[in-house]
Amino acid sequence: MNLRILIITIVLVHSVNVVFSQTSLIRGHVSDKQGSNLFAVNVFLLKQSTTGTISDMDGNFTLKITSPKMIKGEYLVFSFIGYEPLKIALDSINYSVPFKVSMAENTQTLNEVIVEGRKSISREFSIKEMDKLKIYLSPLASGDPLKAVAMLPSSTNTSETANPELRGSSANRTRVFLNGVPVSNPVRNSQINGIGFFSLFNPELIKNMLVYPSNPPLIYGNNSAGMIDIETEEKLESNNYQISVSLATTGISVSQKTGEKSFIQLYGNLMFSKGFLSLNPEIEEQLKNFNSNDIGLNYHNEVTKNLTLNFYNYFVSESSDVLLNLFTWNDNATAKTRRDFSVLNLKYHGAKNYIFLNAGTNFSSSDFYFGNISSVCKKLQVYLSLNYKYLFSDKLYVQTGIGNEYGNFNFKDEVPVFYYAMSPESPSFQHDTLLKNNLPEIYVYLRWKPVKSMIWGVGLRKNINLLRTNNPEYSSLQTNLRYNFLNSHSLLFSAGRYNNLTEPNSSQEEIRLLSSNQVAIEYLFETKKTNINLAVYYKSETGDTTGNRKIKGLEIYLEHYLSHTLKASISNTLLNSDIGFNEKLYNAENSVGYFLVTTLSYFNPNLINFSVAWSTRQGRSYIPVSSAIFNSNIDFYQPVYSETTNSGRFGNYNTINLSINKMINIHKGSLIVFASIFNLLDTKNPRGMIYNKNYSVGSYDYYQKRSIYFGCMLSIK
Amino acid sequence: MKTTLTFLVFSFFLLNLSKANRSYSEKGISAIKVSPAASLESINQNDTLLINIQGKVMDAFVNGKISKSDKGLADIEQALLNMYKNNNNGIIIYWYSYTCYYHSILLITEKENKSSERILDEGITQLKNFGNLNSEHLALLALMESLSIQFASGIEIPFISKRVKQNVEKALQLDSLNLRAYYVLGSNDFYSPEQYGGGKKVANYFIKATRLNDQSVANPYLPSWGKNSAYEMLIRFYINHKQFAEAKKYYQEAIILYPDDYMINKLAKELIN
Repeated sequence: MNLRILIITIVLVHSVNVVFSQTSLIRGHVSDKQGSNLFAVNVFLLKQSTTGTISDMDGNFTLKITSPKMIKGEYLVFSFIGYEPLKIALDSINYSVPFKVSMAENTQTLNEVIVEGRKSISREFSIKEMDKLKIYLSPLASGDPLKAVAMLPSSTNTSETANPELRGSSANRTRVFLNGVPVSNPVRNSQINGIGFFSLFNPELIKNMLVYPSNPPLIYGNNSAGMIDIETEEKLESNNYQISVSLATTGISVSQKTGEKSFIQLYGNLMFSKGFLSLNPEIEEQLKNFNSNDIGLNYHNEVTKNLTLNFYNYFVSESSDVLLNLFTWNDNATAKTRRDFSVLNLKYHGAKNYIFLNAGTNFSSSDFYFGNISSVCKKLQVYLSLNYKYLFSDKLYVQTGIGNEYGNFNFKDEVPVFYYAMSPESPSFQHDTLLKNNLPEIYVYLRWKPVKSMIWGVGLRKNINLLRTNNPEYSSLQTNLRYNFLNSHSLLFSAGRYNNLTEPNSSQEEIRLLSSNQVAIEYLFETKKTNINLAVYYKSETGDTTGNRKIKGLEIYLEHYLSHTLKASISNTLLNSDIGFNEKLYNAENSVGYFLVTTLSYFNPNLINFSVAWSTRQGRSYIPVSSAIFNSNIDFYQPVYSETTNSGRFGNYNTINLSINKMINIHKGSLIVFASIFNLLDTKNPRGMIYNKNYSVGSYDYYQKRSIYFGCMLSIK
Repeated sequence: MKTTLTFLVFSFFLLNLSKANRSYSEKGISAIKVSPAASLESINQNDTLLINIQGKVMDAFVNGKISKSDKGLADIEQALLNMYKNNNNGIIIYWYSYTCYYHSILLITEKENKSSERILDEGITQLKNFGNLNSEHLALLALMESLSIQFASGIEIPFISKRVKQNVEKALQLDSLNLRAYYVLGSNDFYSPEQYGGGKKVANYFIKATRLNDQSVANPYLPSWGKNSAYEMLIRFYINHKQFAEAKKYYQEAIILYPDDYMINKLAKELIN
């Protein structure tokens, strides 16, 4: 076989170089449909297949026809990997001039383009793309996607929750999208001190997560800070069954193929507090009780070659009982929430056209009771968007769409007459609020890759008065430019103006327009072993009740595999955030100067895996109480705050967190045993002030003290 | 796992050694050698370098093994990279990555694991960065990622294995007659532990590979590797599973096609025993 190929090869190669007589010589040029030269194309006669040649680097070829008899009924064939073979009748060729041949990519190659086209149009502008592996390998994230985000240098979260706060902006400006549908407040038990760590997303469902810490593309709207775009799995490699038991939860997860191109993923957890609180008595002083039950379902079906359906539904019921201190009143706060949200995606694609429908619903009902406060809130949110993407070429994509967010927020509250008097006996009044809103928007986004190393994206988004809403008119505009060089280096520039409407909640029962102007420059270096990120950014935010903010930040991040099993990272974010209020500038509460995070991870499945992280930063700013006025009618003191906003600052924040796990392979599966210690050194990190009755003596409320957690998970394939 | 990986690398080495020896001695054809002292001047000429590049890489690999020097492979890599800078052609980057792959194997046999990993990563990165990957690119990428498993921390292995499978499946979607894709698929299944679902379709993949042509049309610029390796691993699989009749059947086919293949000949002894 090899000898034959070699002989043919020698014949072919020689035929390129030897000059033949003009009458029997075919000269030509072969290119693709875009005009690029095609090298190494096989050019041969159909019947006399040993007569052939191969195109050179410039796409040129010459072929000698030795016998005129060959011409009659003979064809010249062009074949090359990834292209449709081409057949040209010899007698149709004019031998006196070189002729040009253009080959078309074959359908399968176009299908590859379709796969590319199904990916997010703006993914190259995300600063961090995390697949399941990266989420699992993120130190101390315990496989929780949003906890993995909280470990990124762009996370400026000062509240120990998994709710993303990115680059100095508050959580109500950043949005999390699941398959293109916004998921508000994407954490469980968010109201519970210290354990609002659990995001709503099961990592087994996730295929990919794109993180845009600032300047997000405008393919999605209603956010004015950062964006997290989560995509669920599109293909199940194998059936998988998991059972987990831990100090506070038991859970089950089933991933099952239901057909050749369809699968279902089902999971549920029961969360309980007794074991966790018994082992962590210091936490029990504040957190009296918590529990939650949740169930999730994801169904994926490639209905036809062109049509894909994905449906996700999640239900959670949670409750908690926490010792809370507000102003001078110290009492148990009880909360209960039931929530159900669904995401439906329909995607249709043609050769170059993509149509996708994203729909979502969110129903929630929550109760909160503390002193003389009672709040019952019911929310109904419906999201619908229709999007169209067209691939002009592999260089130019355009996406456009229209969408609407509907919200119905019904609050039935009993609120204090005097904000500082919250005992059950203190006066209160009924305050009911019903807010309804539609937010229809249209957008267009263009992605252009003029050369291989450069990608440019630009988006425009505008709200429209389609449903006679009373929203203020606004337009958002942004651009991203990415330049890749030397294989692993990238520079990104992005700038934009953004708008979003706040989602009302018990503490802010109104819909406000928030806006921001942002600019950022980033440098990324990523190899398998080393990852370096540098970023500098500036934001100007308006619309918050607390005043307008000017945020300046510098991020430095270095991650390196010291060996195959040992990974270290260090990041520091220098953050300066000022609030403009009454024409004066004050420190924002999260303007903590620096966020320093150092991690060390060891992965050795034969032995043990562990991660340790040390986080430190300055304490948050706060407004000190300077004096108090006694209100004899209600027997409460009214605090008088310092004239300078946020002039006080808590002591430095320090935590060392540790997680350990061991994987034991068993027949057709594995058992993972895990343990974690949060705040290993039991450092007392001040979070807020607690005052005595007349505000003369203050003490601190602390972030989570040391807590121990462990469990195991059995996974069977 | 470690044992199988060591065996994998050793097998690759012996396999290539046997293939290269065949081209020297049995066929009596003097392959275009790139000796360790090969000048860049000669290999910068595109035609000289790219014609039968697969054989040249093998030669450089064998010479490197004998002389315990990787200069020959490094020179080819450098020449291909220079060529690629002037012409972003997918064939050039394919052979660059292919050379990196053998360079990586050569370095492993010399216990230069750090350099081996670096070279392999470079080849994988260049191939991925090329972007517009055809079936042959994807099969090679899968092969290289498969080799990279030995450098990975344990937690990464199932994820890399999954990527290998995805790339090779894509390669087959693009060209269902790509024998190299079937070879990589079979090889990946052969070495995957049972608890990760491995070992179920080894024979199917390798048999398919042995029934396909090296190339649809002979072309000295394009790859033609894989078939003898598929035979060798198929026979080994049947021997491991004590299916000696099947092993013998494919051995007889293989020995006619590859009478001087060291690894296939070596299997004869195991079959007799």
